[in-house]
Amino acid sequence: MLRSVLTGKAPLVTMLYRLTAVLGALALTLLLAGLASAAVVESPIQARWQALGAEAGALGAPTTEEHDVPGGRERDFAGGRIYQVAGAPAAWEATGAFLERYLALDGPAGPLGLPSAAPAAAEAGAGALVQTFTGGRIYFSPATGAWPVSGAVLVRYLALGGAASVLGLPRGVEAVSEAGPGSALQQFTGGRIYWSGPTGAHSISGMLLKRYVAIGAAASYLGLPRSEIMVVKGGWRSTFASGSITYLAGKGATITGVWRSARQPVAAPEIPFTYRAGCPVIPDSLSRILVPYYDWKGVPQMGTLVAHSSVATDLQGVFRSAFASRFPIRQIRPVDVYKGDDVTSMAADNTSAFNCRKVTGNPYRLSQHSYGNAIDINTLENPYVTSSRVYPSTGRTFLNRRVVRKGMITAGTPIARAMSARGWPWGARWSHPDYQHFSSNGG
Amino acid sequence: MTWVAAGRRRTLAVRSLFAVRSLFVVRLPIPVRSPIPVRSLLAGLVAAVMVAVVAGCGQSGGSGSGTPGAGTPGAASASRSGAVSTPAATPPTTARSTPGATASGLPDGAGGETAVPAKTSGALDQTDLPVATDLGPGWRTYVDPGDPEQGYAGNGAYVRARRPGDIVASVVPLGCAGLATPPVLPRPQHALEATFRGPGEAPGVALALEFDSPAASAGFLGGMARIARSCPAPAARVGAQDPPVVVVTPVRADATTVLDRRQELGYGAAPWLWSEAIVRSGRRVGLLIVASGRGVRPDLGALAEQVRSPLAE
Repeated sequence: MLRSVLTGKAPLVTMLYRLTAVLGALALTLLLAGLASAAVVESPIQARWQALGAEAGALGAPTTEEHDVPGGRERDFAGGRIYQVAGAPAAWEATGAFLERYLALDGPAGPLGLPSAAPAAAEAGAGALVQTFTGGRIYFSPATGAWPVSGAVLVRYLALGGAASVLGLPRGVEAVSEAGPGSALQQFTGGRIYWSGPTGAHSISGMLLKRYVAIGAAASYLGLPRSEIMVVKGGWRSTFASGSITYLAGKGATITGVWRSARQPVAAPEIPFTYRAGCPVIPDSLSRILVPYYDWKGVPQMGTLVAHSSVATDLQGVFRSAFASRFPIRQIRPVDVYKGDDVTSMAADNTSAFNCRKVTGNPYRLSQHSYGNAIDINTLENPYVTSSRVYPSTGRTFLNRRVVRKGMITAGTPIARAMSARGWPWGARWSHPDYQHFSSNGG
Repeated sequence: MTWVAAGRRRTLAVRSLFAVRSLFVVRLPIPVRSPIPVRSLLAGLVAAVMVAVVAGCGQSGGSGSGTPGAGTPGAASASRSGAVSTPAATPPTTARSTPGATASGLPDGAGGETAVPAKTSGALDQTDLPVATDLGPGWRTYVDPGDPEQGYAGNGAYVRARRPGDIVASVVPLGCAGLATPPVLPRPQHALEATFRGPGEAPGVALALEFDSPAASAGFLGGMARIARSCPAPAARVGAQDPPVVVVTPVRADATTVLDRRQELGYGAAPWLWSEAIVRSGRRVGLLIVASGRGVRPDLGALAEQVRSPLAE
């Protein structure tokens, strides 16, 4: 046909018609050839799908076209999803428990980002799998389920050996720790990793963790871990923001606190039962004094005293002496906790100072504690005596001062010595002794 | 009668004191150029010994019976007029006295009275305080044994000296809505307290205060009148578990008398209605506050009279 056109043997119209047909066929041929050529260059997502067996594989048939997601592209299938990090030459699937956890953490928009590898055997082996994402990892085992690890916690976890370390596999998501906002905790089958900006990420496990949890973990006086477990002679030690736990075989765990005390202003609404209009000292003259102490179990705690600001330094010094010698104190709480009821506070073995109130039955007489320059310490073990009663009544047995028991103040105890050194007379000197009572002016 | 008898005892005590001093000076074999200063010195020494003896008797001799006679005034109060005052009549001070405490930031009078208080204060003695039986049927004196935890000691009697600096703080009720800034009350020179018990063990307390001038006593009374006006019932209901408040209902306030009633509300509130009479006479102010059970309202005018009649200088 083309030759007829070129030789001019066909009539012109026929030739034009035939030429059009020839060119159309040529164009169609070229178009088909181009389409065939384009089908050969498949996307990484398509390639991964194909590699996993396409429709016959675990993912099954596509349910969506490829589409953009934060940080890359995604295509959904009946049995999972495939993601491609923008510009990456490969794409990786997320399926099963991994996908479920991934989506629960907001998928591509969440902290994990996009998958950067296929699930693989975790460090621990034996049925545990791990999948790496651009922002972290998800570990899975049938026993523990699928849980993510990311950020500084992941860095610490991997540095310790990941799933092969004593920590084992994660068994929860990272959460705010007992210490509150600004800190994080992740639990593993064999321990925990705590994180905060000031302390960094550190693990704790074994007997040290058991003791740490028993005293309130990060909410305790110790605060957050600030070191990895160290080996010491006969045991291990973890250090924390405000102390340490040392575990020695055969001796158990010992908790040692670091002294830290503070003074804060007090507002009247904060102490409505112990400060009222008409009190001889105003709230501006009072301080909330935070003082550490060792409780009955040898655990450091933070106590709160309300006292006159002029005696705050004295009281901090006294309680520092007591702390240094691990003198046990039951508790130190403002009497407002007991609605200003001194008898109840004493029965609770509470150590306290300021409590503005009248002497019972005498509207013209203020209690010495109204001035905030007197303190009662371990009230049960150090009762006080009037002409007819013992306060608290349950403390009567402690009137025998020759048998020294835990929490009793004697002339040789650090508290009595520290008070004396600061010129605070002790109520034990009175004919009706008040063993719990010290004041800056002897009253 | 009581006043006359007490006056005789004081006169005898003073005479005895001078007799001992003369004897001591004559027998002393010390060569001196000018015996006058030495005599004065020795006289002071002897007086101090006498005072200590008297004070010691006061401490140990209290019968604790709670009868008016139990607090027999010692030689310290030489006369009812208050013209003679000795250290024994001065309220005791403690390890860090008030000036030091004030310098440290604590208010004047901060601290307790852990030394055994005297039974007189300056010229004030029990005769300047109301008589228990005159308060009404069932009223009697009450020997407060003291309470070291609260910062004060007993003396075996129903009357005891109070630290004057402590008074200005302790007479102010706690929890008055209008008393964010209590008035600064004049500080008395001397203060004496008596304690009573009435029907149902209702407590009662009286104070006799002596100021350095009538103006000061008037200022004190005026301050108490202002306090009485500053404690209205709160707008919101005060529940049994709420922080305690006190409501003062003024009844009368003039140049010599303030009468009111008080009631505590909230957690730990005393179950009593308090009736208060404050009376001024010259440099002195007497206060009496008695508790009564539900429905009983003592005659405030009668209470004022119980304060006024023994108070006159």
